[in-house]
Amino acid sequence: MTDRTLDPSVVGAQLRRELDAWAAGAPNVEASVRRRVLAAFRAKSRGSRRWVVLAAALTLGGLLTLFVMAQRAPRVAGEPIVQAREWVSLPEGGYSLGFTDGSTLLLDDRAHASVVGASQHGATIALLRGHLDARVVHRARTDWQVLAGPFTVRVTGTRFIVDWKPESGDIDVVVVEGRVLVSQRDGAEHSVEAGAHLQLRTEPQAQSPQPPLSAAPVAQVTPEELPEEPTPVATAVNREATLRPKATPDWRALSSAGRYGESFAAAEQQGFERLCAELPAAELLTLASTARLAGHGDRARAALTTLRSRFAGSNEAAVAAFTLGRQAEASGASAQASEWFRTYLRERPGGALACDAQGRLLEEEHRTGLEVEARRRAETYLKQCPGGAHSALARLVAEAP
Amino acid sequence: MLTVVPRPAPDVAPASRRALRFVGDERALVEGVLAGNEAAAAELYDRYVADLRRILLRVIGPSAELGDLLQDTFVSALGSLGTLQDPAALRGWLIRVAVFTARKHLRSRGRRRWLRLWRDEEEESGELAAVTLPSQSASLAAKEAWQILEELGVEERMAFSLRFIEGLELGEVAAALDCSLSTVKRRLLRAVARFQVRAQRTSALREWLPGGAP
Repeated sequence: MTDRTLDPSVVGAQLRRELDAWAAGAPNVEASVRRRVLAAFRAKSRGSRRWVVLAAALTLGGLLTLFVMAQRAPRVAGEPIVQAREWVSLPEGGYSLGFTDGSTLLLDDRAHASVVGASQHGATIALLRGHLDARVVHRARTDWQVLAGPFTVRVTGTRFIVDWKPESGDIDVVVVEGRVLVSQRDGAEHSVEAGAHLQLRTEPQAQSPQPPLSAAPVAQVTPEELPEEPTPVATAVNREATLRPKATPDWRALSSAGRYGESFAAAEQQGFERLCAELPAAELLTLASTARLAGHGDRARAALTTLRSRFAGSNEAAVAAFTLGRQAEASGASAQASEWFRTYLRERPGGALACDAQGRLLEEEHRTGLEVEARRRAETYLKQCPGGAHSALARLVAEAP
Repeated sequence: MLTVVPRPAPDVAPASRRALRFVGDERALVEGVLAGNEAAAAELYDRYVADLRRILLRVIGPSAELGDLLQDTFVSALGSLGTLQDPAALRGWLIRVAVFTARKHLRSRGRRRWLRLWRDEEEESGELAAVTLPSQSASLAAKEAWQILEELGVEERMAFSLRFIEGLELGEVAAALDCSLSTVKRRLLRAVARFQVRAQRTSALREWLPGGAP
């Protein structure tokens, strides 16, 4: 009887094939649906905007009153203006620019940038092109801006990287610490948190003529070019500026931010095999999970297998066995999955994942009609894992006539 | 070489809204849609349409109404995106919206079947075409299996389709159906039991039994 049980996975796979065959021959409706969906979205947005305009009109009077009151209030002297020091050429290439508040900018040797404004709370940098690595010191009220073509990156104390390519219109913003706000001229705004990587594209930008090179480049801004604040003055040369290695997106930070695709790409860039050979066990587990969640099951398996051979007998190796089981289960390799779950139970019979492993084995034994084994496992499960996720199934199997 | 330039980049023409393709992670995408950015809405559609169409197809089956359901899913999702608490969970949330749309459709179709007694044959034939596998090459077993699915309760059918046809993990099925893992397992057990009974009775399905037809 057991041998003549219909496997639902087989039914599912056969139906999947039929449905895919039907879909391949069916008319493509996605383009017409797209038009209708976007038309509905436009109509809804217009309706919402009318309410926004009305609300804005109602609050305008109040804001004007507040503005007049603020103008009448006496001005209090603030902190000294943030001043730029001199650009310093770095031995490894590129330049650094220190500021009187302790903030630092690093630019690669192809970058073109300029300090175009300064205030008590920060400075405004125009990045014409290239790679800028900024470390802005956070204070009570910090306001730094990086202008890159049509984009403005607004900062309140953080470390971030901006890569601006005017020729293609691509901007990449990677936030290492803190948070920045990237805005575009059309009003769209994007908040970028630590560990996140934002890529935006606009049309290629017109190139400004290359200014003449200066042998000793110093931040210079003429008064008429600044909005209202006094001109920042170049002061002492910061020749002790140290070069930090150029920051590349950190796969760990990206992974913990849930950006698995980007995290996996960063890990590949650093050398996936090298990471597998060098990372400690816990980080290797994280790398495997990242690869799996990014859709690279083969890489995840490679990381887990390496972990098991490098750290044999460790708790992480047992967890790797369980994870390999889950991967095998997801790909339909049920027998292989069961073998990995049994491996986990052999290595960590009282481990944190023991109930889950027992439950998954129970599912498989029940599904394949191994009635004696399933009943025995269900009884064990109910003793060892009362209230566990598989309790209902275990009771069903244990109490079956 | 770095050169200090005493003025910002020249003010070039703003990017064309038509040409601008929205690029950003899920958080940026959600914020863009909530801000009324049409490029973000278009990007959300382009990014997830294949996934949602496939989920609807797995649950509903071949149907002329698939396009309408896809539209309902996206319009509903774009209209209620403000309720999404974690933008990183956008894909799972969209799948839940698609499953909700499919559930509503299946229930409504079930109710319409009861009314067939009062409908003419022409109308009925169009409806029937939507509930059978139309492929000429579909095996008898596949047609029989689909018929069993059609006869299952809506919840059992959706659990079976998501688990065994789409291949989601049990936890993912529970999340998509917005119910507990135990509930999903109960529904799957009922669905599988129905298949077992029919497999013993129906000659067409016997070819899928281990060892093939006796």
